[in-house]
Amino acid sequence: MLFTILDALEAAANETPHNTAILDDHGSLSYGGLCEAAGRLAHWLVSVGMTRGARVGVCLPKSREEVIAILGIAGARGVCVNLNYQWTLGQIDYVRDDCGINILITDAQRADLMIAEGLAGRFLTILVVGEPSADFMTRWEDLPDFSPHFERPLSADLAAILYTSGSTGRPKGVMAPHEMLRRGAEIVTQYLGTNADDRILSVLPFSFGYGLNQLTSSILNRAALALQRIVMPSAIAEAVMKWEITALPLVAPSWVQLVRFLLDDEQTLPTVRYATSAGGATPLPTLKAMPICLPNAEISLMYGLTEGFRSTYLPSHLFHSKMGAIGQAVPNVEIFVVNHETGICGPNEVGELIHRGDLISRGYWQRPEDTARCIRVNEYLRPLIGEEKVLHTGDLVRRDEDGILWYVGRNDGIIKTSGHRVSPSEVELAASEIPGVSAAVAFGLADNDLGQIIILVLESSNGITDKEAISVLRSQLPGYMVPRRLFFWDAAMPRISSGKIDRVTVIDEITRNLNDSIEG
Amino acid sequence: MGAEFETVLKNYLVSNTRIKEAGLQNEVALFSTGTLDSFAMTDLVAFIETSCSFRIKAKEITLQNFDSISKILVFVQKKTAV
Repeated sequence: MLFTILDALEAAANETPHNTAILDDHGSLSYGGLCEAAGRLAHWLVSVGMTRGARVGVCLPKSREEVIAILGIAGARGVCVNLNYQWTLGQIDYVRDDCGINILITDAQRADLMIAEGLAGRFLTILVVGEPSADFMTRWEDLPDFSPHFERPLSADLAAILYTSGSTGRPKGVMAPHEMLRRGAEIVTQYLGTNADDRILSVLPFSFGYGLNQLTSSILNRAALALQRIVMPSAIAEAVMKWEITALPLVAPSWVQLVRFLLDDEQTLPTVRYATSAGGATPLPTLKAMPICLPNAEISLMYGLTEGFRSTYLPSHLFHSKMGAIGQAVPNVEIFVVNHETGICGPNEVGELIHRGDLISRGYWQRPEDTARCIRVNEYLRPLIGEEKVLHTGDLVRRDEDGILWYVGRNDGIIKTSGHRVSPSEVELAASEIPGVSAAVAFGLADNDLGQIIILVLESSNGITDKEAISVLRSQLPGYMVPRRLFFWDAAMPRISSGKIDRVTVIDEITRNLNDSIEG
Repeated sequence: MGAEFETVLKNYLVSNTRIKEAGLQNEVALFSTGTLDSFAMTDLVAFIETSCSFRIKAKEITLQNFDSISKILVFVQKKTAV
């Protein structure tokens, strides 16, 4: 019986050792070879004193070594913490401290930077792919020729801690047990029909739940995973052709770019059998063009949070009739729409999406209060499921007459822009530093390329210019948080009875003006 | 706009990416090394479009045009010269 993805890897290595597991620029790696390399790394990790349940960091660009590291850590009964290769050293050090990482697997460039910044000494052991300048680190190529050996993890063991985005001030680590990863792969396999003949393109980082699922689904089905480091649309199209990719999972902004490229180039990708999009809504013009660019593909749109991996999908047969919807619950998951004042919502009534089932994570690493806020018993569901805890997503949705779910917005006004979650209050706080500004409202506006763009409305008395205001904001905020458009509210902004700004009215008025100007 | 845009671009990259750690050299590879991902690419393209007031075609988003600061500068120069 397969309890974990590691069991699936071993089964593949025993029964079909010569099948291709990994495709990359260096060639291919078979299931036999992958399992052996992971087993050898697991043996080494234990030999250098890695204890059961230890968190091990992996900070590598997309490569076969990265895949071997993820599986090797599982095989030593460790917890893999994938540190996105894009993160700054500061972000990596924050995560190291947050979950207590002692062992790091990285590349020579990163290792040398860590030495230069005095951060390398904070790890007990560093394993380096490439040629590090320091001799206290172990080179990947010098790993001893140990016999492959796995300590068998239980499905209840933690497999990974997933730090979402890593961009906002203090990202939280989502705890994913092996059970969750295996079930995630099984469920996705069921509705996408992944099989051993598939060649899946892996463009997304393994630090995302969605990206990691391409690896786990691939192993579960003994399919081939093609590692694509370069994210340019032209390079993705080339990779699809070169490797005859059958499964193409991307995030919405990449679909926008790829579809534009394919239309411009009058090119199609006929080998793709199924395509998926997740990580934010895909804009309608892109959705409409996808069937033209992917003539043989079934297209499935998916929705989920790291905290619960996957909640809904829009099956491909509903792609046209329900275009833009987030769809229905994935197999073996139940979705409730709940209004916190009145209870379970009727058709077309807006409420929070509540996710029930065994894809729910263990919550946040060492943050029990945050965990209890989002994974808890819901009073309205007690008559149906008793004391079972469910995931509160904070996303507002409605269910139409046909039972299909549509995304409405965030409960908390969080703006999602180019993959970052931005809190409006942080932007508004920075705006308060602009001389003469007495009030500010920030909000997200749908944008085809970035998901949302940040709009900032200022109540100002002294005729400050756009340029001056933006330069103050730039000095206060990282670039992705700097608003793309500024508006000045001519008079005092409307207030509600408590004296607080009437945000809804302000946002509504600005949005209507924007829409008029686009149409006119 | 040459030197001015170079500063604007570098400021953008410093506040949005970890390029500063790699030394902010004009020749350092951004995408072929995996230093920037697809979100960063979309954001960078949108940033250049707004700063330079021209549209970038999807066909133009290639390693040849975007893989380093100097390549981006050459690309922007060509686009604005037209």
